Amino acid sequence: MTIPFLFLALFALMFIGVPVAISLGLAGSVTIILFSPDSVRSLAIKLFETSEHYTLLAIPFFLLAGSFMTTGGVARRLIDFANASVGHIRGGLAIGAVLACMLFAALSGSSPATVAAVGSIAIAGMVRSGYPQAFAAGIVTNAGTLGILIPPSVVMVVYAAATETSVGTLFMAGVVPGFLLGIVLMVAIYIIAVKKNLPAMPRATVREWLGAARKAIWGLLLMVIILGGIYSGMFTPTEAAAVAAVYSAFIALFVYKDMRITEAPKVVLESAKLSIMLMFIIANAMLFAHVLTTEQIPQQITAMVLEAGLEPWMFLLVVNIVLLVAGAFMEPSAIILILAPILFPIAVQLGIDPIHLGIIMVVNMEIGLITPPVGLNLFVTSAVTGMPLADVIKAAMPWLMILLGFLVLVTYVPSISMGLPRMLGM
Amino acid sequence: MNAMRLIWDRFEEGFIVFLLAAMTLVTFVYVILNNLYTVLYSVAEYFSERSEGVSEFFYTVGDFFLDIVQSMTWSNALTKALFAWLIFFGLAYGVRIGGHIGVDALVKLASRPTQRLIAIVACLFSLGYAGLLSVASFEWISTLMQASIGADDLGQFGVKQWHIGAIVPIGFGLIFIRYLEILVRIIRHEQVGLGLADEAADAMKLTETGESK
Repeated sequence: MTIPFLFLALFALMFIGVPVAISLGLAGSVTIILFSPDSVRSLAIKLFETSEHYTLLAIPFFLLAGSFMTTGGVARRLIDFANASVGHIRGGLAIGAVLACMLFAALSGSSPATVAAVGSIAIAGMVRSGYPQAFAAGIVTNAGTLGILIPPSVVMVVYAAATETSVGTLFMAGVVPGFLLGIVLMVAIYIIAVKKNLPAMPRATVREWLGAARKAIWGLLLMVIILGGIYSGMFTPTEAAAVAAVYSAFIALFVYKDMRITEAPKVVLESAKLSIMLMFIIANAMLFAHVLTTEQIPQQITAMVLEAGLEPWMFLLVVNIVLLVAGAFMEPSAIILILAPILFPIAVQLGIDPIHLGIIMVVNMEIGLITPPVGLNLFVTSAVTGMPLADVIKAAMPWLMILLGFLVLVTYVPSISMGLPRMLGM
Repeated sequence: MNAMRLIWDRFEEGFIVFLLAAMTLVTFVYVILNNLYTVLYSVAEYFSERSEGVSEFFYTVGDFFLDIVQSMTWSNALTKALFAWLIFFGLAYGVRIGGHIGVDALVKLASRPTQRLIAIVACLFSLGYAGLLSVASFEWISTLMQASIGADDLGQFGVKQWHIGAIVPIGFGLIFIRYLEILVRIIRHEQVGLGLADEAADAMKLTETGESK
């Protein structure tokens, strides 16, 4: 009785347009009041506890760093650098856009931010050089999802907080899959480019390439600071995020000087707004997940799965289907917080590494970001290009197939994600 | 009345910027100091065979920073407190600018009058949520006030637990007021929906400021 009520309330509230966070919180609170002996006071405490989560502190810092990167001209220099590196290949600007997405993803932890930063410049550039707009938009919408797979990643931070796994290990586990997905997209673009005879740029001279690299170096250096700092043990991921935020503000204001100091409060406010929104969803999703835990749902489902004698590969197949459906309707952080506590114990029982499960969930969330009706990347691309949403969905669709294939690969070849962290002894 | 509102809105934005900037800087300074003394010690070690004096100097400076870092146990607690204030104070700002994401694809299929009706119902639910949690958190805080326990690592400065938690009832109270405003506007036909966020437009805003420098 309790659980059907919980989910029915959630969906009813969401579909009449109550904000996602409030739908989660209200469904959870009313369920507790009706069916559980807990006092309402415990609701307030539960929500407040979110702010005391040390791991989650990384989120506002990474979002702040991302805002300064986008506004401060780092994205533009990364795109120039990417084009100077691969522009001479057939379909070079499109391959460059994927490379730029990969580089930006290595600095920012958010996927819509990556689409916005790279898309607003790269799509227009491709259209000017004679690429079909739908082709350009489809590529950036998909490659932008790398934002949450290539570390740092806000979604990984949330998974780590929900399952108490190590953020650092998750970050390292995301490196190879992220790189691989980027390469796969590039190869696909190259094949299409040769078939459709898409334009290539004149090869950049060594001097031009060095110039572009020199301008981009300040952005690229941040990658070293974040990953190197975490890996060497100098920083915790939260501390690395704070350093990244201050560093990118410094670069934007004093090195690139693309923005004035008076503009800084506006950027801070914008990323504060993103953090508040996200944290509100996270806090309420935790409350919602708390109801599931007190009702012993994870234990019941675990028992059911074990009794049914599911093989690990069957379980992972079910996980992927559930996550893909959920991803189409819900915000990624909320899905992770609600489903990770359920999936995590089963995975452990079946001998699946929690880090591997984390990467599988992240790749599913990537796909969720480009599937309607709730696919944030689609909305962002529609906004930066002015294309109608329906056209963006159609443009992104063929590339979605590549992502689905990639998901199967990551799911059933654990060494893709686990190889690097194992090698590093994490 | 309007002037008051304008002042409050500006204060709201300014305070949010202050909170995020402060928590970032506190953490940043702590991290730098925390790594600085290790660097100074290794420099000191490097000189230990070459020059006693230089080595001694770096050890002293290193000790100085180590002392600061060790006394900075409050930095972590302060960051968390600022984070709590940022989240719960910022919620009402999020409502004001329509920043909280929601699903309105289904609602938009309905006719205008139906949309208005649905919006009123959705608004009432949001008010119920804000009201419920205002009361719940107020109860919690009054208990904490009576207990009057010092906050972890901040108690030495006279900060009590309820000073930090007090933002929860305040925040939910503010959300309640903001949704009340929205309800009035919907009933008066001044607004159609709840003003749910358009994330895409936000992402645009960031890039626009970047290009229009």
